[in-house]
Amino acid sequence: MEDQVLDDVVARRFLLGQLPPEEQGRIEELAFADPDTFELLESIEDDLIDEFIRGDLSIDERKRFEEHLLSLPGRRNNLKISRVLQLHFNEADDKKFSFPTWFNTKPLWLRVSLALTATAVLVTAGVLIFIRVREARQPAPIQAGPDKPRTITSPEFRVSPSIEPTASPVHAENKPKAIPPEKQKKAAAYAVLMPLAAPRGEGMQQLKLAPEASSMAIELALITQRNFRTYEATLENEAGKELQDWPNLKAAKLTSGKALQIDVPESLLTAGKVYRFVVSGVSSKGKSEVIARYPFEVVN
Amino acid sequence: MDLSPESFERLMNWLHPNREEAGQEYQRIRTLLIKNFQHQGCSFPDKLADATLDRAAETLTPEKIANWKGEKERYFYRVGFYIMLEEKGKNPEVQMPIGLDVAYSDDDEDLEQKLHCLEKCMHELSTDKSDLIDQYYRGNRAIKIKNREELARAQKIDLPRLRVRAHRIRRELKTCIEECLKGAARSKPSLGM
Repeated sequence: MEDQVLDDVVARRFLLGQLPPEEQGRIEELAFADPDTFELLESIEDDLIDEFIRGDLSIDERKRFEEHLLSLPGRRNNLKISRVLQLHFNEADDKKFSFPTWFNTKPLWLRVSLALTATAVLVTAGVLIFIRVREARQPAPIQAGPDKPRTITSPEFRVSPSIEPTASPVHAENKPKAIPPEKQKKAAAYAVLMPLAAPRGEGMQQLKLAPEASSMAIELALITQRNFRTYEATLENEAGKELQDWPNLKAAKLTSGKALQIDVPESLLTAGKVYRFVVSGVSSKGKSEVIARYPFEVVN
Repeated sequence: MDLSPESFERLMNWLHPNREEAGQEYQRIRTLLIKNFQHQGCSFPDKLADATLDRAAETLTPEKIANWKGEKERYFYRVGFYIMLEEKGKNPEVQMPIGLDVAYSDDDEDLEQKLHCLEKCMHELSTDKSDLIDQYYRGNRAIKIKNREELARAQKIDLPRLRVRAHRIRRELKTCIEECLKGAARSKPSLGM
């Protein structure tokens, strides 16, 4: 293969029919005249088909995939072959991966190190939970006068499907001791969202609106080993319409571990509706790629 | 579908108002198309070139003629791209018997058979290829990305090249699976459709 003349992102947009007609035509010409470009398009199509099967495409990409890519000659057959390949490798994964087998294949020094690390993590987590529970049970300090602030509950790590807003630990640290009553009404709520593969159905995370809050601090847990220079989070409604964008986010160690924190105005969310955050990682070269989606349903 | 005389006339007039020069231009473009189909490894490049010229004539509208800018062969390349997709999308050596078009069936009744064929075809691959495709597709999304980066490093190639390499193995598997399914369909006489 010679040097790649077609950018991956452009090739992907071509296959999804997202390019202007003139650009689309230019790539058709290029792919017809150059076997490497044609093969590159086919290889990117393989990835798109895999993402389609796994449900990793956005709503818009999925629609375009069905309307454009699948309408191209021979593509439906490729989809079927991909399904079989994925089934085969998923089954092989299920059969092959077992933690005890994997663990026993590691050298003794590594097994001992892993066991010690796991024990240390468990003991630390236990101690932290114990301290948190004790703190939570202690009565709130008595404040003088009518300006007593509302009680700030400790942050909670809530796993889907039920995620309720709690008071924000970030705001708690920076709060003055006395808050005027009108400002109390605008206090921010706090919630943790986990990335999920399924856009709907059982296990959908629920986000409870706090009636007294004007905005909600949402923590988006990052379950990935990859690191990016910055991150971008986009709030979309169920139809895939972009509602707000948070660029240049930095990952931090938060309640759920490595995560992003954003402040979401509650005015953007309506009870009973389904939304999702789409998080992209931006590399040091400025290349952006979607790394996780956080579908959730808003409840009162 | 037969090419209508009007479509052919329109094409020739577009190539050149003078019929003799239009004929020469037609031949020049046909030669270019044959070369490209050959270069792409297609069987019967002359037939595909003729199919491209016919399709180009059918789809060439007065609006397209009015708005076209640049060399005219580029229009034929665009049409040729789709003819090639059609060609590569089908496997002429492996035509399913009528009524037993397993590869194109929409139900999953034949899934077990397909999986069986895939297992068989995986065994027929060389160890290098089988290991590569196995590692390429192994794991869920995050693990898969990491696997591919490691695999590319181990193979001393970049990710696009690795993807193309995996695509070639996948194409080999696809052909093998289709042949295997054809064999399985033949061995089912009771279906006799």
